[in-house]
Amino acid sequence: MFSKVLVANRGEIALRVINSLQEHGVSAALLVSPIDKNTLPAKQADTIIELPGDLPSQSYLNQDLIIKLAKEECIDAIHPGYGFLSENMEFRKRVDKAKIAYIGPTASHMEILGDKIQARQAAIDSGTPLLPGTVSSMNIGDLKEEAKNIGYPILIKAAAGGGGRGIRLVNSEKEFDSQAENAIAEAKMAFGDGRIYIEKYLTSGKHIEVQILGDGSGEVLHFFERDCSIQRKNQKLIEEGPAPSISREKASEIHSTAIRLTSYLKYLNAGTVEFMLDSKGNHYFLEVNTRIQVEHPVTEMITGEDLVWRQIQVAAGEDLNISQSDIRYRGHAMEARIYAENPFRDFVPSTGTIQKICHPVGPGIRVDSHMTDNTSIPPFYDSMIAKLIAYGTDRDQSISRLNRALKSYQIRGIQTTIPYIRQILALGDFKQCNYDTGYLQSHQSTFTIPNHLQMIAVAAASREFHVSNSTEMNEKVKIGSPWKRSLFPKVM
Amino acid sequence: MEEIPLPEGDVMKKYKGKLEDQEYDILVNNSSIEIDGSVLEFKMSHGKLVFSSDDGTVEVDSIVRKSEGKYIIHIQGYSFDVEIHDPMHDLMVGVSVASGDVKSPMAGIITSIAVEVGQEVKEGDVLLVISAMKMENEILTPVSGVIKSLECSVNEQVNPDQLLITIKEN
Repeated sequence: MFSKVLVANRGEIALRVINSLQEHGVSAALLVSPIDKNTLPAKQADTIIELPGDLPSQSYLNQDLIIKLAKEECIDAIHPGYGFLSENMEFRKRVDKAKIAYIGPTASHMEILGDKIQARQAAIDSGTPLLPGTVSSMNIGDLKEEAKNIGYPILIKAAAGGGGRGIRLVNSEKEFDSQAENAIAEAKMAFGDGRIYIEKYLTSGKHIEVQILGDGSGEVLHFFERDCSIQRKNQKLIEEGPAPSISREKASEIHSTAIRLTSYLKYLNAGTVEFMLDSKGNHYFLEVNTRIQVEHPVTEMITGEDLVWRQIQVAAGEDLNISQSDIRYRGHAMEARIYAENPFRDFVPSTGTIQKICHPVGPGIRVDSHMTDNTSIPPFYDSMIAKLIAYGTDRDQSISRLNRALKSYQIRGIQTTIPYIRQILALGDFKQCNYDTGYLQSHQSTFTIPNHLQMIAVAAASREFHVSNSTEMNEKVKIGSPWKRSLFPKVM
Repeated sequence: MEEIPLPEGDVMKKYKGKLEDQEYDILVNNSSIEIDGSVLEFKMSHGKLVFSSDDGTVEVDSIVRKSEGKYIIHIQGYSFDVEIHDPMHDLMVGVSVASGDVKSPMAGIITSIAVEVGQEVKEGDVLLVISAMKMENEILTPVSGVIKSLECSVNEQVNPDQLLITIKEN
């Protein structure tokens, strides 16, 4: 096993990885940008390595510097977390060259699976069902021609994308050019690779994904599936496992498909094989995420596994000592992603400082968060501030527990997705699993803020403004500002 | 408007409020609040504001001041960004709020600017793109008119409410 691992990430996932490392007696070093210096993961890490700037290019994407610092600190292995460099093949190769172990897939897996265009080809080669779309890099004009053949609506996706980044829904040909240009800009900015591809958009479909773990020999284990259909702007908001709306037979079939594709590639690392399930119950391959995913706690809750540690074990070449039949699930788990956003105003980011945060507690509750009182939310990084996971013996219980925990979650000073998620949990459609990936988008008007609370909010703010301004003016009067005197005849 | 007697030693003040894109006319003194003509009754209970409404009493969980005149109000699990200003005070210190002033709704980095000074724009046109938290956010023009000035540049880091572009309204 490694003795010192560098966590090349920030936020809740950095803390999550540090926890697994320290639990097993492995020293955890952490990269920190200036603004992250006083965060919880920085406090908990055994060593912190300071980076010069806050911008991702100066910090968590700064490959040259990260490798140089890793060498100086005698790091055995690098854990990239999710996002940032976690699916960057260039970085992966450079880590190899520096003779440092990498906790993740091999460079060739990244090349094939990280490039979503090549991944589609690999799926075809291994007999995996997939949606109509393009399988080579094309210019906007050719893509538009293909889109016409496939038929709108279509999705434009970044070849180097993943995790919902760089995806645009295009409903008609006239939107194509501008959407494609934006997608390219966003992809260049987020991944440094502007190549895009298109894929038929299923207007009604569920997002089902299989958690897998491969040791690189062709042996791949699955840890059941998750349903992540509740999405906003192609970003998951609620994830749960096992998938509530499919039969166990169908689930097994999807697991087998996932294993077939990843064994064919002799996959190494934890990963997720994502599928879309159409209304007829057919599943289609979307992509493989070659990293630990945001929603991995759902699987950890129902299987009792530590997937981050498993990932570290396979990277170190350790024997896992488990077989597929040892992996079982029990009950149901559901995760809510809490973002610093105003959910009732098109999810506009809500930056600022969390003045006070009080995480919920209680049976079946797990909180993965790096947030403490007076933590600022920098505009440079992702806006997720916490993941709240609720375990129950069945789905109903996990919903009630999640709802109860969300209700008691106190976050002061910013807007969050909590009230919106609570509205979702209360929907009959949600309880009956009557939703698809487009549900939130098509039911936007369902989610509103009670009008009387808006009035009360305005009243509360104006009273606060009035009281503090009067106090301020009174102070000024006391210290002798003559021009205010006439306003406050009684104060003197 | 009906005359409201002022309590002794208290001043009735007129404010303007803004929540989301809704504007409110507010009258406040130390014992009552009137918003767009309807009176909201409140009392203090254990240091918290409690309002009575048709749906029963509503307690204000927390009021956080973000900056001058900007508050985030937490009520029953909802959060509201409310801006309050005093038009009389603004008049005295010379704050002008023109509708053609486009301000940044968020902190982020300007990734592209789609317009030039002198260019004609129609309401809803894309003015620029701000990248925040790895997402590209298009900033649209709120009014139709001609671009008067660009107050920002590409790759500039901007803060919420920073003036980005001014438009001379048609």
